[in-house]
Amino acid sequence: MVKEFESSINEKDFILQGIKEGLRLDNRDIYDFRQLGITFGPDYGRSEVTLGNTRVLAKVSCEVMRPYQDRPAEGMITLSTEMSPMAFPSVEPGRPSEEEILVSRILEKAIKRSRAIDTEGLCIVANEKVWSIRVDIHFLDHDGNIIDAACIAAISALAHFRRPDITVIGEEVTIHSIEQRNPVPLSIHHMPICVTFAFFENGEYVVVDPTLQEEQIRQGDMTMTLNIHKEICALSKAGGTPLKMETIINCSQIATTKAKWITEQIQAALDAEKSKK
Amino acid sequence: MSSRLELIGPQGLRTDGRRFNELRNMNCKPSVLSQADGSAYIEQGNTKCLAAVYGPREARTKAQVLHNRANINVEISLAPFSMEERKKRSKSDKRILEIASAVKQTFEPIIMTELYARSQIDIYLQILQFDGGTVQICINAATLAIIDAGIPMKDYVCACSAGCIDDEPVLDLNHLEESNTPELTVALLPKNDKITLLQMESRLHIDKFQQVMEMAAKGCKEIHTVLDKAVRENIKDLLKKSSI
Amino acid sequence: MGNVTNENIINLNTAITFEAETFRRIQPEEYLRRYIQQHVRPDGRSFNHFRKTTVNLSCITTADGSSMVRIGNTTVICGIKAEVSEPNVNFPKEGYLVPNVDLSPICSPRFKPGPPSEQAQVLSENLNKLLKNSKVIDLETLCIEEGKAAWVLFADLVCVNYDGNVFDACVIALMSALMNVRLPEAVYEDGIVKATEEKTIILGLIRITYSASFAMFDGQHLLVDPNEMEESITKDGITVVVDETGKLCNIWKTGSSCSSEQLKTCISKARDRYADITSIIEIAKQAIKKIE
Repeated sequence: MVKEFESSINEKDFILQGIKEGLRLDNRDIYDFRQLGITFGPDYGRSEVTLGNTRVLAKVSCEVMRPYQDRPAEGMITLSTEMSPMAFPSVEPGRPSEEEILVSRILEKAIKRSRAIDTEGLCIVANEKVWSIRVDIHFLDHDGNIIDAACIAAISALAHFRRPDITVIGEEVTIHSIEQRNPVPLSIHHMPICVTFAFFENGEYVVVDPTLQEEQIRQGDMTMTLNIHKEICALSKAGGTPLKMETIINCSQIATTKAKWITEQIQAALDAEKSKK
Repeated sequence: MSSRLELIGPQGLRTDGRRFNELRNMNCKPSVLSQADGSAYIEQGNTKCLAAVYGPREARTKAQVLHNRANINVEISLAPFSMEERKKRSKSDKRILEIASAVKQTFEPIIMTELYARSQIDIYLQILQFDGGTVQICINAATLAIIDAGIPMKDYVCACSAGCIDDEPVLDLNHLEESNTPELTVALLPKNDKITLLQMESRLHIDKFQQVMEMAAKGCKEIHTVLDKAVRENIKDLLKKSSI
Repeated sequence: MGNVTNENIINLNTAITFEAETFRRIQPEEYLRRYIQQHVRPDGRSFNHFRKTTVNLSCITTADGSSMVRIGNTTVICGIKAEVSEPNVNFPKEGYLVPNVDLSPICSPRFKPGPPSEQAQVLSENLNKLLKNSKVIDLETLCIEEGKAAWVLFADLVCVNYDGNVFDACVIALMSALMNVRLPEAVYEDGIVKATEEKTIILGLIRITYSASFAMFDGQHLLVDPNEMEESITKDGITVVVDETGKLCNIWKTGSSCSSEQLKTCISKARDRYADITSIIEIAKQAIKKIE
């Protein structure tokens, strides 16, 4: 098992001192996100997101399957977030580490539990055939804040995805190929965006979108998932340094502005993609 | 779609007869197991949980040894008969692992682990009956058990859930309510009112967020009084027995 | 060869004394032996004394039948859940009764987290054998529709405190939980099983069996209801299971040999114990009747 590469004590003190004075290594403001880049792949449902040096790829695919017994008229969404040693050298392939469990749970809550995608629209024939949408998230490079990057990648990939069109006549189901009929986009209720905060010095200093080095010295973290309608879809602060209530309320205000900005970025990228075609 | 559930009846009473700001009936007793270093049994409404703490003791594997503090290990197990439908939840069920990880990270800064370098503190939680509020009962039970084991902590950690029914904040949700309304679980340190754990899964508008969080914090303080009373009564019993 | 002076002779009568607790850790067998020689056990009991046994019924409301049994400090909670399933093709008129014992790290520091240990598996299998061989329940009463649907009773036993003699506690917990099970009326219609909301049907138990466990020390002393320390020191044990008529249902004998006299003593003690357990369970039943 490879041990993760840690910064030296000097570097850690330097970064912490900088944060106390409101300065960060890459010259950002403490509440600023890094440069966000969203590119869509040649096929539908493929999106690659770069957040500074962090790179995440999301690929959406679909299949016709039998629905779950307790939800016969709803489609299914599966999220796969396996961490490979490519981005995480200290991870053993095959065994989910604690971090991976947290990341996959937060993303599941953000996308599945918040009902971002209309699953009832994925039903083809109740009790027999429904669409099963699978989102595979691959972490290519880890420089901090993979949760936010993964969420943006997943949501933009889902918004970009087109599934084959189908006609249902009685019990007969015909799936048209892409050449025959234009594929249909998924119906998205809202776009949940994750915003991660890192806390230092017993909750006195807050930073948005921490880099890997900042993550290594943080004492606590919190991820808020919101959408543009100012609804909090999920909240996760699992332990770490205790915080005052005002800090949390403050963070929620900051998160609302950030979520709005990110949603606009995603929308702009989607529009640019559409006009290309 | 599910039919409209009447979670708050016409007289403002919820399905189990409580008002919007009432906690469920709480029953707690520390020192219930003889083999564990510290143990506690808690009932919150119909949810029952047993906690056992072993430690500080020798770490089981070399990989888990930390040179400057104790390693905390949390395991949660849901008894197969605890839920309405018998589900043999495997130990590696992601939801349970996530709750265990949340409990571990909640207690890491609170337990004074620097005093016990190279050792391990094991917290085992067994849920005997489930009616909502897993995270909060696990944290409350673990707090009592750790105090019973004599492991020093900076403060009690008290947890409570709150939600929003019909746009009104409500306290301490049971299973029926938490499946149908947004639920926020908060763990609080009562001495300085700081929040250590915050978790929410469904959609809640940000304007309601502060009210719900404040309601949960109030609930945590009430739970703190109950836990503190249980601990003090237990010590009185022990003193009586040992002064024979 | 010169004179052997006094200093060169090692006095073999020098005794090294320890505090009792230290002695217990370095020489556990000898420690127990010293007590046995005085006809008493380290926890103050006589050889024939069972620890205080209490039973609580209906403690888990989400289960269809439940009980909690305490023998001394050993605590076992049994919860029974009923589900519907297709019966075995070879036995189309029978339902299932599936016991499972869980010895998790919460009950004792000797259990590590992970898959069920050998001890837990052996306990589950022994309980299964006991239920099958003694025909405690007529499995045909669990049938809803021949060949199509039958009740499966999952009996999950969770040990929360391990202080020796888990098997006895498990047997008492299982029997009392079975007595406590309430099933709804089920009807098989058009491929679906419909059950009423009310749970009214009580299981009819053909036989009720209880067990008594003994540890044998030094090949001669029979210690009734061993606690954890005694169990770990003595490798020999006998478990006797009897039913309400005093008939022998099962015997398990582990370790070295014992005489037939000892076996007869065990069986008669088991019969006495049976009467005690029945009265304890009666008290428990009265207690829940008062609440209902």
